Amino acid sequence: MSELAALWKFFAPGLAAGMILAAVCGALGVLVITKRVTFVGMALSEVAACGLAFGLLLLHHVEASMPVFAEAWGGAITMSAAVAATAVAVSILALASGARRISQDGVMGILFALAGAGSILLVSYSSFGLDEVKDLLWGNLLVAKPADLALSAAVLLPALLALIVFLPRIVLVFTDADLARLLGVRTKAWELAFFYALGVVAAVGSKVGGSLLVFAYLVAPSCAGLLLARRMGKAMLISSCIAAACTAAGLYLSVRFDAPASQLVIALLCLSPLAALGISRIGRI
Amino acid sequence: MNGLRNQGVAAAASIGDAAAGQPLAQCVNASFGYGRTPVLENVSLSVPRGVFWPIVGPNGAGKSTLLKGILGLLPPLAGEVKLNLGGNPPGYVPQGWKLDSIYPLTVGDVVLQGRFGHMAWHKRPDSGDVETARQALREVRLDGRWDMNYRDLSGGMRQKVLIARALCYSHSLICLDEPTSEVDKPSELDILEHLCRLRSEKNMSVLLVCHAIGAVFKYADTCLLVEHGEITVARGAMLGKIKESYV
Repeated sequence: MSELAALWKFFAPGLAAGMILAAVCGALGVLVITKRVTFVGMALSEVAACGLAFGLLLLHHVEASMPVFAEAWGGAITMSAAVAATAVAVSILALASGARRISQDGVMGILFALAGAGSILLVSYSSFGLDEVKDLLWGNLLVAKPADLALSAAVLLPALLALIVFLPRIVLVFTDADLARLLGVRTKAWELAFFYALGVVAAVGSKVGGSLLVFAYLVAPSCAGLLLARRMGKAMLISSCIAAACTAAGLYLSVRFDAPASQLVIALLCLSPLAALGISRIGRI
Repeated sequence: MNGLRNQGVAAAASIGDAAAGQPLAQCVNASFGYGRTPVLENVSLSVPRGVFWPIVGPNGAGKSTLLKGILGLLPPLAGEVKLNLGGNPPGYVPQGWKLDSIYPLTVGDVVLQGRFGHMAWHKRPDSGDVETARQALREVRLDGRWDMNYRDLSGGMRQKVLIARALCYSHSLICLDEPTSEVDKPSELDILEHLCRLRSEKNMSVLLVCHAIGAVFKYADTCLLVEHGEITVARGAMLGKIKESYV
């Protein structure tokens, strides 16, 4: 019993952080899918991972000269690097949206490739251990620390609240920007705010669970939610619940079968649209 | 007076102004275009109250450009556009397909979008907004469809939902971009009859861009012809000629 309690104590932060990440990305992902910017989610997750790699590299240099400062501010340094990287990526994408000779998709592809290569290059020049590199590149929800849980709660929950409050206006901007402009809504500002928020969520998510997990959270349960629901809010709620359920099941299976946690969660998430398709054939909610 | 070109357009419209007071929209030597390239130059046009004006012309002539210019979606490159709508924006009805059907929105959700101009940026629609939206839906005779999914509607019904959305915030001028381009014949007539009723019952002005203009001439005694960068208010015999050449 005491062994179980010790296990629970060890895995509880990861489970709680995963649940928060699942709820937020699940809801946000419905807008990512409906706006047809799936690749943005993928590119931002990869850019966030690259930012984390840069932050860790920076941290190792700081540790050598200022170990006390690095100990106290290490998390903030890596997180700031990831958030800054996603903010730069969103700004580049915003600038590219007016380009006539190249598509925004093309720019996203370049950012994705650059960030993927950049992460590997940065870790190859670092003195990271193998586990550190694996956690950075592929994430490991199971070993999330209480600090990760606090970070998730502090950043992701306000993002979810903002999404709920502003949902009708965001949907207006995304569905009919011309009408929104006529009604005095600053469409560019709202779009930028959405993508910056997505960048911050991707940065936090990548630190806690890895970039691939964030991307899967944004895409897979959202597709399931859209297959099952006939209202935006309901689709988001279903998507969040599916993501949270897959997280709990994935972490349990990971402990039970000693398998990588994030990858198990991703596998379950990717099965959810298939299950939703089957259910939607029987009768829509 | 059969037709008036360029600077004569304002004069033509002024006949309507005398009867209906101040024009609802006025372009004064306005040029509209994309980037720095004008598509339409020196447009002088007054839209009085209570008119039903189809905007016709060949592909690429600038029909939609003119409509967007009047709406204020395309700022004039030169000149100015004056709106006299009591502080409300002009009603805008895009083509039904422009609202991506991937969004799981009900008819009520879509019509309520027309109320956002009246709300603070952090507010949601209240019961008053819902009642206004339901009333607008009743006006296009779709009051039983509030909870239906927008994507499950026919092309004609979608168009009427978007007209209802425009009625939520605009009470004097409504501008439509090819409202009948993707609907069958009965739906086309139904939409045009609804628009005519807005003019006759509410004294609203209706401007609609038409690509295929067959049925619209049954309802219009005047149209705006956009051709070779010029805008002509066509009536009478000229309208007949346009009908012959475009139908």
